[in-house]
Amino acid sequence: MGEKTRKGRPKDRLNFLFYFLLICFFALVYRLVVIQVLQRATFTKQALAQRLKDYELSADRGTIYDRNGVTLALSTDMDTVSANPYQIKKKMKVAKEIAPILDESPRSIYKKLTKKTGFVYLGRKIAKDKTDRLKKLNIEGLWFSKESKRLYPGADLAAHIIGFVDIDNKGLSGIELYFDKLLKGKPGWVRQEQDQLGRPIPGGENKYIPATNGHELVLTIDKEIQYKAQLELNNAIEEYQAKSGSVIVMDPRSGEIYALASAPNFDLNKFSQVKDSAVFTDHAISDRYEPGSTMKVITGSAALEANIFTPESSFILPGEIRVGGWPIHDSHERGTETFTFKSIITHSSNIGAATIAKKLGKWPLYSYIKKFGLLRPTGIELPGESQGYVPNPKNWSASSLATISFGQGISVTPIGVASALAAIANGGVSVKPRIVRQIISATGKNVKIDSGKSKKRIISAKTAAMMTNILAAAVTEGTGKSAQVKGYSVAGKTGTAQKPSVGKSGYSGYISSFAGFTPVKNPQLLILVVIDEPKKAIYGSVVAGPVFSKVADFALHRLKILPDQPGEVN
Amino acid sequence: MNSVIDKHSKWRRIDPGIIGVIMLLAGFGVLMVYAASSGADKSGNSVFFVKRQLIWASGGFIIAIAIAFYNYSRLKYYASVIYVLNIVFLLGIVIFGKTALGAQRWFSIGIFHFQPSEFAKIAIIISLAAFLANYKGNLLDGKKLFMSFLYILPVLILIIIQPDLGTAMVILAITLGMLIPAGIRIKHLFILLLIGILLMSAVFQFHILKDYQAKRLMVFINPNIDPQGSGYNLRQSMIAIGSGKLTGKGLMSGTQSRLNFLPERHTDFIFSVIGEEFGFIGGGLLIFGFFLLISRTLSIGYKSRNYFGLLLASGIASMWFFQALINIGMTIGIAPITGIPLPFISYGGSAMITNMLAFGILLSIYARRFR
Repeated sequence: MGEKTRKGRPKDRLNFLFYFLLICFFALVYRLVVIQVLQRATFTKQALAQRLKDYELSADRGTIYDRNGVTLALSTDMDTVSANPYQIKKKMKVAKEIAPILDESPRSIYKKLTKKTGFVYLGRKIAKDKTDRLKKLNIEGLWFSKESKRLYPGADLAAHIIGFVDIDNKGLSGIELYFDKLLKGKPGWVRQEQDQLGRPIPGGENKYIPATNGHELVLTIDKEIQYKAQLELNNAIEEYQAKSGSVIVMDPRSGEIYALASAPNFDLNKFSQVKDSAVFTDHAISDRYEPGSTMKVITGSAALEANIFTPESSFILPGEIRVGGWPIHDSHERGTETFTFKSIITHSSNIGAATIAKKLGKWPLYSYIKKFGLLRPTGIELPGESQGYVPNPKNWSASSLATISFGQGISVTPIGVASALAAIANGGVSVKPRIVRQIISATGKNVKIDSGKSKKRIISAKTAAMMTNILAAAVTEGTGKSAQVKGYSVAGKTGTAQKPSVGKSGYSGYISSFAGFTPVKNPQLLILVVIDEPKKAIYGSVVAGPVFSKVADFALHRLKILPDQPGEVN
Repeated sequence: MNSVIDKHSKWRRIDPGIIGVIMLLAGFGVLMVYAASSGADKSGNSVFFVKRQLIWASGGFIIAIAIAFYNYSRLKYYASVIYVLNIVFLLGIVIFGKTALGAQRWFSIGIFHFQPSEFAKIAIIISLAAFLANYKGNLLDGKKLFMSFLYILPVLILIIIQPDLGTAMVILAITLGMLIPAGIRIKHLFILLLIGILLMSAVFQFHILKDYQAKRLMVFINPNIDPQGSGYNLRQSMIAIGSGKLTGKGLMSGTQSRLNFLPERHTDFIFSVIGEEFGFIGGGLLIFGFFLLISRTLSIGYKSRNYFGLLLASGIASMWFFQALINIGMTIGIAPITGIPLPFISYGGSAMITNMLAFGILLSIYARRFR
């Protein structure tokens, strides 16, 4: 049209635009090279990672049974509700709606729903009627799933042995902890190709490895005996206003534990509500105490084995002796009397034990204490076992040999004492205490376990027999009369030890115990009762003996062990 | 000058180059809208988007051919009318418009959403070309430059308050692209760039941007700030393009887009689908296609018989260039995420018609290139 265009300049400037275009598009292409060629591996990996998802398939935790197949711990499916906060729209409204069903405050729910994450738990392992009510609300972004919850039908039965698990079913104590790996099994998994909303893609990649359920455990525990042991222990603790206590019931021949009671006790299903975690302590395996007169069994056995004395060796013992400047008395005041070796033990003479030990010598005594296994853990398959302690003889004071001979100045565990006594009941051969009878894999196969065959001779059968006779006499005519069981012969020894005060020198409180086995000729049942700090009475014969008698009476009948003194049966 | 007949032969009035490039681009765009959107519609109608895109592309193409027969030079006389209409529509959108994503951008006419800010681009090209043509390529003094800015300012403000930051940036790019052939001085150009930088800082400083806009810009600077939020789009886009590698995963086989990881994949992020399904070769070829389109547009401006045509072509080239650069750039993390569509490729009727109008004007300029 009529107007003139100035030629040169505007067109040169178009060239400028062209070169600018060229440079910018080269930059785009260069960037494409970087992303699609140089970094292709990284992005390909990221693309795969976000559409392939691995889901864990949980394995069922193995059931725990008692020796007769009674269920002690089992897993059951419970409902769990979780949420994807990104998908929840009206968070405050949703929080208000679901809070009452979950028994929580709307505020705490709202807090969870506003978290910057794709997953929060709202309620784990809750009752089905609650999830039914939640499902009816039809809220987008809520997810329901099943989670396995551990249940303990026996509540406080064998609580310390079985132990408990946390919310993720990880064992925290007892068998649940010790055998956690076997019990939990191996989780399986599914790999699935899915879209952005997590929906699986038909025909997409899919891999499936099933879970292997956990092993089942059959314990050596007998539910009924365990119950009786707990009952009698609790009664005694209540009656004598004691602090704590434990009862061990075992088969001295195999080492199998029938019962292992520890007080105070708790309900496994409500362990999280326990205020004082001290109740979780299994006193039977983790307490260390001074055994008192029970120790005379070890001292005596050592002396007999060393052939220094016979049960009939005679002693004239004054009412008091001084060792290293310290006076030693018997528990009941008396004048100078004649004792036999046997009556020193049956009547529990401290002066007698010290006299025997003096002849035996400190190194031999020490070596027998060790041989009886009192200074090391027994190896029972439970977590938290302690071990006994006595100073090395090199460091013993002038009075040590005497006091250790009657069980002061040495600490032992209840399970250690039971195990040492089992060696005597067992004809001089030690056995390892066992709590697990059978391990059964998910496919039903028996898994080989330590059968306790690692038996070791500690003393000769002759010595064991002599000591057994002495202990039988202690029950029939000595300090252990309260432990007698109608129709059955019992061998056993009381123990009453002073407890060293904590934080200061001297003693405060007592530990009363009774350790024994029955029947005498063919011992099949061994029981140890330990009561810590009884207040109304202190002597083992008074506090612990009757517990032994009642538990033994029940267990002998329960195990169908024939009476060996039928004449006395009513 | 051997033959007037030759010069004015009907066939020589037609530019097969730009027609071919635009047909290829629009055709490819329709294909990619199909690939990206099939299954995207909740009703399961896999052809909903592609059907509409096809209608707009072919309808627009017919309009462009029709415009080719119209003498573009007459547009100069209607420049004032176009300018005023443009402002009226933009005012209308601010007052009556539909709100989407926190911004008012649409009029609804039946089932069609009419987006005036798209048409504002071509409107400002025409009116600004007429305005600058008066200076006859001599923009030496600052007063004329200032007047030019004053001229586009009402349009710019109306677009910014929608707010449609992306289109506002396109308008500025168009203006700059037209000021250059209009003879702006190098000194003034640098001053303008400086003012631009200062304005950008001020925008951040005084929180003029809406939250989502500020976030998008921040994410452009560091995509890992918020991988699930604003950074999500960019991250998914880069994964899509990067995992497309050299040759791509094949048409309709892009896992990122098929599995819904990629957002807005038939509109703003359509290049990510192309990069994923056709790889570097596909993405590179598309960029080359845009290079051909824009360089051909510049060359039509070069050939224009008058200064008005040169300015028109220059504005159109700048529009397409800026949009392609920013759109592709944002999918590969070298430009901020601003919601600027890819010309002829991204789904959208208003944008397609606008681009086809521009195409028609180019055909008209080319056909009348001889004096």
